[in-house]
Amino acid sequence: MAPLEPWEKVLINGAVFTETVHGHIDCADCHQGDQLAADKEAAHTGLVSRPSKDAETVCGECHHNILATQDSSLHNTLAGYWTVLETRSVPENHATLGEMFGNHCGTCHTTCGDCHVSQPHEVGGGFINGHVFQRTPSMTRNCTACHGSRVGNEYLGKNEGIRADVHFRQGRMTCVSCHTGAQMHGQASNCNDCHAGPVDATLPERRHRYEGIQTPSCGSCHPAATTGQDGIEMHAQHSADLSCQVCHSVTYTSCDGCHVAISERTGNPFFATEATYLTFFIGQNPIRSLQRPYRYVPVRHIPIAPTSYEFYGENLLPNFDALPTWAHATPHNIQRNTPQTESCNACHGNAEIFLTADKVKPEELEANRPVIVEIVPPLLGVTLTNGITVTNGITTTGALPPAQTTP
Amino acid sequence: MSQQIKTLVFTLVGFLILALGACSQAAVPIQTITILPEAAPTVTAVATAAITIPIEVAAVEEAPPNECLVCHTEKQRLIDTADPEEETPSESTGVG
Repeated sequence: MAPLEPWEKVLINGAVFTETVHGHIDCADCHQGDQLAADKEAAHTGLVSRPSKDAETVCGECHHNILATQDSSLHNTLAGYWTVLETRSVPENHATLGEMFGNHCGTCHTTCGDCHVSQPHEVGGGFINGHVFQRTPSMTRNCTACHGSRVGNEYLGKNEGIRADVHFRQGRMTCVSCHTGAQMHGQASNCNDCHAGPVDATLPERRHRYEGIQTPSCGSCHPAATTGQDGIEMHAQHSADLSCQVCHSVTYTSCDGCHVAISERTGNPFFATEATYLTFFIGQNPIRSLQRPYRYVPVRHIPIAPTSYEFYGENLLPNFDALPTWAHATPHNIQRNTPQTESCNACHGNAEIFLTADKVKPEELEANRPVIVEIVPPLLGVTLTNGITVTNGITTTGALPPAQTTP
Repeated sequence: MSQQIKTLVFTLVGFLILALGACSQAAVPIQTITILPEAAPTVTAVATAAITIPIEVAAVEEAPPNECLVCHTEKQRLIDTADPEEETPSESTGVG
């Protein structure tokens, strides 16, 4: 995303904007200020440049149905961060971590305008289309402006030597093709808010993105594949115990410890990550659930270290080992054919692509015990003794046709 | 004997009241018919007064034009009036 010139950020497309619904609203209704003042300085006194920071009052006046669910939107709550911070810390550290969060993590909080009017404030802001409200956010100027270093680079094929996601490369699908507005705006707190039902069905608050029903889900478009009913042997064998990405994603980005601080020189917050590198490792699913029953998932190293927040205080994460540093990942570089889909033994017996203990830093072994693969699935199609063959994890007797022994 | 006279007097007075009451009710429709034509000018007068109402509505101030657009739709004006941006290079390193 190219940075905009200062004038470019605030130039309104008068011809188009004034013909839109929002163009019929008095500027001051949302932005305040004094538009009858004689000069710029006076006109901008009391100006609210990002009115949707108070979405309830400004946007909610008309879009009350969307605002009704925003408290459950992870874009709004950033609840995933707090789930991790609270799990790794102790209550007496929460206040200090709250200060850190406000200075660093909290700046990623998304407002309505950050998706529908402007480029996100965190990456410089500026109107997307002359203040004309966009029902559908721009993939590159909104979504990947924030989700760029991992998701954006993977999906658009910006990691050297790695092709773009097939959904983009061949389908020209954008983020919202899968991540619909309804998902982005949060969910109702009770099923009965939308569907008439005889019983109360209060939904639990989502604490992170892999909690609750899969939205989006590969199965929404590929139901036969995800249920193993499309005639492909690997789908029949593994649709329940492998996430789709285990076989259909390729090398993706991992990061090492992120450290945050406030600059002594400028007073601005900044961060530094220790390292960024490409990996592909299959680990055990640390959060198996009804909705994500997979035994194996891809895992990526996340930018966390015991000392990540030491600028704010010592030992702020005393329960650091409560969560893995290799986290369940859903890489956005899906391919129909990958090294894993070449044969069963691309994975079976291939310790290279599994997150085994030798690939984990010694100081992180305890934290990653839930994801480390202790025993690599054995090679298939190997005749152990005369007439006994191992295929798909099942030891059988008798000769099997080649196509079945190594599909 | 005097008791019978009292009863007779009360009965006669009762009949007299009922008779007078019946006569007065019969007069009401006649009065209404007489009044109706007089009421018509009153309605006209009310309608005439209503003409003043739009004047009051017109007295409400019209919403001011979106003066912000005068500047914010002119590229050159924005360039000329832009505050110089302070260069504060980020000290962040690595991938965020």
